[in-house]
Formats: sequence, C-alpha cells, structure tokens
Amino acid sequence: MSARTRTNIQPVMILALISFSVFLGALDLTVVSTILRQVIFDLEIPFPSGLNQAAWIVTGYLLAYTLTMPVMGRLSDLYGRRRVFLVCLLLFVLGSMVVGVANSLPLMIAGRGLQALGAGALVPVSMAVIGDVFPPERRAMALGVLGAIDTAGWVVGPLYGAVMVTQFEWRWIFFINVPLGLIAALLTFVALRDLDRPVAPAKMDYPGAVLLSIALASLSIALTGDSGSAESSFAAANPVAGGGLSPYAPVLLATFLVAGVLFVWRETRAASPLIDPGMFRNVTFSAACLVNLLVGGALIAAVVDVPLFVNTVTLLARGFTPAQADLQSGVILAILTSAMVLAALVGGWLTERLGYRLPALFGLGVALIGFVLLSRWGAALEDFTQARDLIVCGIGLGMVIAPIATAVINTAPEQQRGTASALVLILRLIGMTILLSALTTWGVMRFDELSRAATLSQVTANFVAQISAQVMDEIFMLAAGVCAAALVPALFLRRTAAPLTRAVHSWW
Amino acid sequence: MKHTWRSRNHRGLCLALSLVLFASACAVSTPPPPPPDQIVSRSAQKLLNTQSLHFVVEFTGQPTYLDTARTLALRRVEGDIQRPDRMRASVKASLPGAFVMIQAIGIGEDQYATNPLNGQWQKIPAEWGFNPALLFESKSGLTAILADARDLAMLPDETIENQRHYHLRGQISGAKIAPLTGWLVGEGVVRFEFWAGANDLNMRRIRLIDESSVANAPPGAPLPPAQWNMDLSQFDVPVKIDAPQLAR
Repeated sequence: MSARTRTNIQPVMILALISFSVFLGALDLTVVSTILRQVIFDLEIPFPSGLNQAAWIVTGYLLAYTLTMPVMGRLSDLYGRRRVFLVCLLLFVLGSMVVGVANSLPLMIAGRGLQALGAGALVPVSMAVIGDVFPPERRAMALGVLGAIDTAGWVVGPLYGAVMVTQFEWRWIFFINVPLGLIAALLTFVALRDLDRPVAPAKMDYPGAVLLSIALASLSIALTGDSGSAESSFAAANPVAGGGLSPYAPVLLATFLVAGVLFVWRETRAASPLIDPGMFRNVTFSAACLVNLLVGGALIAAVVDVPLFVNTVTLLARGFTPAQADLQSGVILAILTSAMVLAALVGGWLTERLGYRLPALFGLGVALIGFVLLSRWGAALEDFTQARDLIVCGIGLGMVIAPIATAVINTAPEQQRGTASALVLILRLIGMTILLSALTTWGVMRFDELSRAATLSQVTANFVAQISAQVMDEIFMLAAGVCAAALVPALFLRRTAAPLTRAVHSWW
Repeated sequence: MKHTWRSRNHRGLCLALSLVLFASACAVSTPPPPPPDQIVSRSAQKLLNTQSLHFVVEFTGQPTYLDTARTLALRRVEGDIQRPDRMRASVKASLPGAFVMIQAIGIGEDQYATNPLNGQWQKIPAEWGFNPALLFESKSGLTAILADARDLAMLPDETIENQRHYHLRGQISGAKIAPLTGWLVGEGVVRFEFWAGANDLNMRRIRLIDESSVANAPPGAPLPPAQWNMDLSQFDVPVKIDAPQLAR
C-alpha cells in the first residue's frame, strides 16, 4: 500500500462514505439466492431443463466479480482512486438497470455480469483507499471495518431480497440500486476528491488478467451442463432432457488447462504480476489458499441450495404461496449466515490463542457435520430441525474462515499483504464459481435420473418435491465431502499464528 | 411579360391538374370486401383443403388448466399439423412457481407426450391428446362450426406480415368447439375474432375468448376471460411427423 496521502476529509469519514458503496455491492452478491425461483419463473425458464442456464444468473455474477477484483485495484493505481471507483459504481448502476428490465435470460446474465464488474472492484479499490489515507497503525482496524461491512452486505442480502419480494416485484430490488448508486457516487465524489491522481506507477499485467479470465470462464462454462434440446427435436428420444456436460466441455477444459498454465508461466515473468506465484512457496500460505478455495465451494452449496430447497419443498409439498416460500427461504438462510458471522468472531479469537490449524480443523469438522445433517433433510422437514442444522453448519463455516484468511495474509510478504488480502476473496469466489457450476450440472443430471422412475401420470407436486429434496440432500452430502477434503490441506497449516488485530479477525 | 406570366400560369395549372388525374388513376382502388359470412365460409373451406400448416397458440387471461387440480396451466403451444391426422407440438405450461416444457405427437388415436421432468417419450391415453383429424371433419370440424357462427361483423382491416387482412368477429357455441380444443374451452358462449388474407382468404389468425372462464374462476382472480390467440402459417409446406421412440 502507498504512503499516506494528505486529504482534507477525515479518514474515518472517507471510510464511512465509501463503505456505503461496498455494502451496496455486497448486497447484490447474495440477494438473488432467495428470489431466484421468482426470476426463473418470470423469465419463463423451463424446469428442469433450463436450470443449467439459469445458474448463470449467479455464476455470471461470481465470475465477473472474481475477475474484476485483481484488475481494478491495480487500475486505480494507474488512473486514480476516485476515477476508477466512480467508473465501477457506474457499471454497477448500469448493470442494475439492465437486470431490472431484463425480459430474457441472456439479458439478465449480461446485466448481472455488468453489475459484478463494478461491484467486485469496490472492495479492492476501497482497500487501496484505506492504504492511502490511514496511517499504518490504523489500517488493520479500518480494513476490519470495511470487511465487516462487506460481510454484512452479503449476509443481509438474501433476507433483504426475500422481504422485498413480499411487497414489490423482484425487479425493484435492482431498480432501487440506481438512486442508491447515484447517492453513493456523490458521496464518493466528495470523499475521494483528493485521491484522483495516479499514485506510484505500477504496471498492469493485462496479459495475465486476460489469461486468468479465459481460464476461469472456460472452466465455468465447461462445468455448466447441457440444457438439452429445448427446441422441438421430435426425432430425439429425449427432446427436452437436460443434464450432463455440454459437447463442448472437452474443448473448454483444454482451454482452461492451456490458459491456466500460460497464466502461471506469465505470472512468474511479469514485472507486476496479478498473483505472485512466489507466495505459494510457503506451505502454510498454499495450504490456506487451498482450504479457502474448497470452503468457497462448500459455502456456495449452502447459500444457493438451502433457499432453493426450502423454496421448492414449501411450494410443492407444504402448499405455501410463492411469496411465502420466498420469505421462508430468506429467513432460513439468515439463520445460516448469522451463525457464520458470529462464529467468525469466535474463530478469530481462537486463532489468536491457538494458531491456525486447530480452529480451522475444528471449523471444517463442524461444517462437515452440519452438511451431513443437511443431507438428511427430506421433503417433510420441520422448521426446528432446519434451524438447528443450519446453525451447526454456519458455526463450522464461520469458524474456518478467520484462521485460513489470517494464515494467508500473515504468511504473505509485507509488501504483498494487499495482494494476499485480495487473494483470500478471489480464491473463495473461484471456489464458489466452480462448485456452483459443477453441483448444478450434477444436480440436474440426478434429477433427470430420479424422475425416470415415474410415468407421466405419476408426476405430482409431491413426487417432484420428493426427488428435488433427494437431489439437494445429495448435494449437501457432496458439500460435506468438500469439507472433508479441505481437512487434508488444513493439516499443513502452521500451528502458531502471528499477532493480529481483532479487527482483521472480525472481517474474515 | 404579361403574356409570359399568363402562359406560365396556364402551363402550371395544366401540369398540376395532370398530376392529380395521374395520381387518381394510379391509386389502388380497394374493392369492397365480401360479406362476413362469405369470408368465413370461404376461408374455412380453404383451410379444409390445406394439407399442412404451422400453428402457434398463446394463452392469456384466465388460465386454461390441463388438469382437474387446476395446477398446470397452458401458456403457449407451437407445432405443425399434417393431414389427415398427424400433429406435433411443443407445449409450455406453468405450475405454481415453475414452467415446464412438454412435447406432444398425435397420430390418429395414438397420442404421445414427454415427461416434463426428464423428456422421456411415453404413450398417453387418447383423451389426453389431440387428434387433428377432428379439425377437418365435415360435420363437426372447424368449417361446420364456423358456418354456425352468429353475430358476424366486420372490423377494420389489419396488416399482418405486410399483407392486408379482413378482420371479423362473431360468436360460436362452446359446446361445439370444445372437442376441437381438447375440451379446454367452456361450453358457454365463445366469442371469436378472425383474420383472413384479403388476397388469398387464408385463415391466419383466430382468437377465441371463453366467457365462461370468468364464471369458473376462483374468487379474487381479476383476470379477463381466457383467450386463445392462434396464428397459422406455412400452409401446405410438407411436414414429416413420425411416432417417437418410447422410453424403455
């Protein structure tokens, strides 16, 4: 981070003003979790054959969010914080407008991608601003506050979405971003008026950014299942069947491998690499990164599939109206995310006293148990059991986030702590993106298999609820498997932790 | 100069008058339309002689349910008919909170449909499907039903796909048209609108408005009557419709 920049506005005030934008962007990361069913219905996307494509409403956001993060922080060095921050806000507002008026899936996905290109950049640029205006001894606290606000945004997002759709059409969740985004832009314009000049020159690793984008996009598309021939293909035995990888998957996977190898090669030679491969020589650093990647995957299984489960089952098997189902799923997800936030604080406290390994192992173990409990949900599930199991799962996931994030940041060289901080988020998002595509593809395939047990006359709402519940139970079990796999690299985390402020713990 | 001015003025007047006469002569003179009942009967007769067609039906207003539990509502059906008795269609229907796609093929009394959950073809009871031969029956088909239409009236012509169409409205008996609609239209009065090409009398658009759907609707459902909006095209373009491969 740069030497402190003089500004006429108090740093705390700057932090408060830019935090509003960060919160807004984080809100939209998870707001679709509870409104996804309604969006799919309004866009007339058929069930289940269209689900693989519909997943891109979430995957597209995650992918664009991930790709913009390592790039925009560096661009703000080149072009000035305020300029880049305002451009990002404009992208977010524009994307929100596109999403709000979208009447087709491609337009919806394009809008979400545009939103994410803007929103994803707000955190790293804000972190860079903190580096500019806060003295070194206060930066950790400021980063902690920023992180807490970012986390609060995506924690509140699902419940916010669920509550909004009880009163308004889902499109207003995105339309409201326009005036809020303009207010945020005004606040930013004032707050960063002294931060509009390029700081210490830094080269932008454009080839690296392009290669990373190609690699991630190829992998995500490769893992997106084939939607089947939704058009009339009457000659086929199964003209509307879905599931299975697309016929282009081998080419896309090869593209991912080639682009990935080239990216790693590029980063070892770039003057200012996006991600310095040298950091991975540290065993603790690498282990923490791998755990973070896997935890991201488990996390998305919970954040997307829990509300989907609740929505589907309450709608089909318990006779809820769509609005009631949406609200129920929002409330249920809030239980999970609230437990995560509280456990993250405890996880940070434990990390300071016990080091990285034990809290991480404990958190992964509890998360594993939590997902196993979730995998025993059926269509006839009681609210109390759901809440209990989600609290267990949330505690586990929350507990593991702090030690592994701290391990990454602490083991990075001091001059690369900013990059390491961004890497924690990026890896988690990559894990979320990849696992979401893979689990959706797998889920649609399983649904297809299970549905073949019934003839047309046997297809009832209860039958669909039963097999939907079974598929999601299996997805939760897979997420448990991901947590189990993460236990292995977690064993390589160094036992002792370097001292850290409570603020950094509370963020992660 | 005075002489020149008068000459110019005279020439200008003659030129203007010539232009007006020329324009009048060139103007397309629209012949008066035939009487409504003739439009209907000739158009229906033309349809009777058609060997194949493509159709798109959009459902608006009160839901048209496929099931007695009133959960599966038709939204859109698109397909082809090949005489005498072959039909295929893609059906988009909605459940509470979800859309499903179903493919259907009818060959006489043999009816097939895909399982909406996995796309497997299965044979279904004849009464679940639709035999297109019903459309062309002389006594109960579309021609006969339209011949009994009442209160026919002309509406302003409309342009569809750059072609002028006669636009009519009338009423038919729901009981008579019910078999042609898979018994999904009520048995009360069914209003209809009808568009036929002014040049070829091809029946290109039909709208059925089922007034009885409002009476049958649950309370608090302030939707207008169920409407079937049918567009017909690709007349006499051959279509190959075969029985599907059934799931084992």
